Formats: sequence, C-alpha cells, structure tokens
Amino acid sequence: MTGMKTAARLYKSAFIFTLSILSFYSCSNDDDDEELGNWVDRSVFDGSPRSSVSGFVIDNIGYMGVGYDGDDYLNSFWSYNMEGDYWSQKADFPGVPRNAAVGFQVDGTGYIGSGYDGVDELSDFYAYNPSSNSWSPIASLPDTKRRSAVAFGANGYGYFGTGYDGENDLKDFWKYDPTADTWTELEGFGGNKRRSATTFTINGLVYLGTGISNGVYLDDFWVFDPATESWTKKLDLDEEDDYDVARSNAVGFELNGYGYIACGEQSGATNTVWEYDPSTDTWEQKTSFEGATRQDAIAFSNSSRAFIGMGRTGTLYLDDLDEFFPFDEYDDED
Amino acid sequence: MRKITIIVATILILGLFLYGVTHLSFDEKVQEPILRKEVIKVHNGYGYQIFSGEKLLVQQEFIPAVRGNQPFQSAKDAEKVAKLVIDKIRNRTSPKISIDELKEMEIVILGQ
Repeated sequence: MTGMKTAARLYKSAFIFTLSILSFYSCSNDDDDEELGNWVDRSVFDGSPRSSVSGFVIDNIGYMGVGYDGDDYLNSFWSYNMEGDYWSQKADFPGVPRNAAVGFQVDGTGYIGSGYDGVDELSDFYAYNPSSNSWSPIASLPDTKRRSAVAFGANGYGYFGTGYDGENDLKDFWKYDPTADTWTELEGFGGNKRRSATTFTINGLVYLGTGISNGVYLDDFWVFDPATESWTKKLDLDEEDDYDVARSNAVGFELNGYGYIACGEQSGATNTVWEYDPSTDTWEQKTSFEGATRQDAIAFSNSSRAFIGMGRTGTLYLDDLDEFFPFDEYDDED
Repeated sequence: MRKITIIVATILILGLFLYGVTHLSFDEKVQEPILRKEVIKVHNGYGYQIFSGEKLLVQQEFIPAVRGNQPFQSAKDAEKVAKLVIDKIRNRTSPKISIDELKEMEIVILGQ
C-alpha cells in the first residue's frame, strides 16, 4: 500500500517534471524567436555601406551624433548616461550634416569636426559645452579638408591627423590649442598615410594603429607621448602569426589599463576584439562582440566601463540599446 | 528498493523545482515590452521619459534639438513630443526630433 502510494507520487512527479521540461523548451523557443526578430532588424542595415557617427566621453556621459543613415546626412546629437543607462537628445550639431567626422574631448569640452557631407570633405570644427548644452564654431583646419581622420585630446590640446582628402590618403598631424583657438602642424609621425585608423589612450599615452590605404590594411603600430609630442614605433600588428588585429573602421578604447580594438572591417565587417597590453607590447584575442558584425561603430569608455554603440550611422534605434554593454566581465570568460 | 524510490523521487522533485524557477524567469522575459511615456516636472517646466517595459530608454529634461537647457513650458508640449518619439520607435525609425517638427507641433520655445 505504501509502495503503491510512493509509486503514484513518483509517477506524478515524473509527469510534472516532463511537463516542466516541455514548457521550458517551449519558452526557450519563444526566446529564440524574439532574438531572431532583433537579428532581422539588424540585418536590414548590416548589408549596406555604413558611415561613422562621431563622439566623445565627458565624465560618465557618452556623447554621439552626426553620421549617415543610408538616406540622409545627420545633425542630431545624443548623450548616453552610463550610470542611468538612458539616452537624451541634445542640441543639434550646428554645422552641415556629415559623417566620417572626428570627435575628441579636451578638459571637459567636446569637439566634432571635419568629415564628409556627401559631396565634399570638410574642414570646419565645433566645440560642445555640456553644461550649457550649446555648440560654438572654432577655427577650421587650415588648408586641408578631410574625412576618416583620427583625433584625440591629450595634455590640454587636441590632436588630429591622417584621413582622406578626396584624392589622397594622408599622414600629417595637427595640434589644436583651445586657449588660442589655433591649429598648427605637428611634424614627426613616421607611420604610413592612411584613412579610418583607430586610437586609444592608456595612462596619458596615445596608441594609434589600423586603418587602410590603397586597399591594404596597415600593420604598423605607434605610440604618441603628448609630453614630448613624439611618436615611437611599437611591434607590428602582425608580429605574431596568430595576430589578426589589422583592419579599418574599427573602434578603439581603453579599459582598466588595457587597450582594445574592436569590430571594423577586414574585407567585410568583423566583430572580433583584440586586447593590447602596453607593458608587454602584445595582443590577445578576446571574446567577440555579441551581436551582428559591424563597422564604423562607436565606443564610450570612462576607463572602468566601456560600451560599444551600433555601427549603424547616426540612426539610433532605441530598442537595440541592450547592444551597448560593459566589457568588465569579459576577461573572465576567455 | 524503497531507498532507490526515495532517491529518484528526491532528484525528480529537485529537478522540478529548478526547472520551475527557470520557467518562471523565462515567463517574465517573454512578455512584450510596452512603450510608454511619462511627463516629468523639472525645474522651471516639464520634460518626459520614455520607457520600454520597466527600462528607461530616454530621459528628456530639456527640449530635444534645441540649444541650451530649456525645459518644455507646458506638460501638454512635453506629452506631444514624447508621443512622436514613441511613434518613431514603433515604426523603427530613428527617434530623433528636429527643430522643424517642434515648430510644426507648435512647441513653445523661448527666445526663438
């Protein structure tokens, strides 16, 4: 009698257990469907040529704007609050709508300039004051217009170089002095001319690499010391046989003392991520970016958290916001 | 024999419990996120928030696209713009608001 009861209980448990498994699977199927939907949404854009948005980080806020959505060149401008994980639309960029511009930050002021408006390369620059949410024009680059350049702020100055002027790839560098509002040419970059390169800054030193010229992804890698304004060559990006760092239109950022080059183009969009250790001058492959491969993305890093934004031009599809994610945990997962 | 039955039953119940927990959390995830707007009171005026389910997507303490830190002059204005943002997200277009759209909706912008 007791045995019967136990057996009945056993069968009942087994039955519920089986039901649970079935409903578990059906739920996970639903979940897959939902992800598939997101994927379809992405694929609409991933096949078409992308052009970059521009931005900078001030404290815990990432700013990004301009860009090209496949139809129009854009002038809308957004802030991403890293703490609160939400977006706000800020004052429109006042220059002509554009893509492939540069963005950098010097002493709490953001700058966006240069780029391409669909017809011409551009040389104008604008400064953004985050506390007054306002833009003002600054001095234009003298004698040179271009797109797909790099720029960074260091030591109270802005630095701008490489890129494409509509006819040639370039290797010259310029220094912007915010106090005097002047640009002066800076000699000494020994690297190749290129466009769509990437930089990141670790402990005040700026690392520059990747990019493309005449269809070739460049392998040279450089560090700039703002204190002496001198460039030093580091080990090439193909130093080890298993390195696959060379690419163009990637994003670069610093996180916890390491440099990262992520996503971009390697004869097609890629989502691979490489980590640079400045103490050993070596590269290590990390977990690839989750989601669709992309180029011309944007990265926000405040050094302790990093977010990669969609390489999807200036259009910001807010239901894709979960694609901005911190890299903090990824060291453990490799 | 009885011992085995008890062990098997324990394992099954444990499995049931674990799957039950997973099952419940899946149920929550599967729910369609609902877009909703909320007008917020800010210093000297109004702003809005856009939520997807519980997740805050957009917080607009000042009128979008407009230079300076200017809040909406009325809750009605904030609501109109928030509604347009939700429509744009639903249509899977960029939720950006332009100065022209603000003018079309007759949003009060001071000093313009």
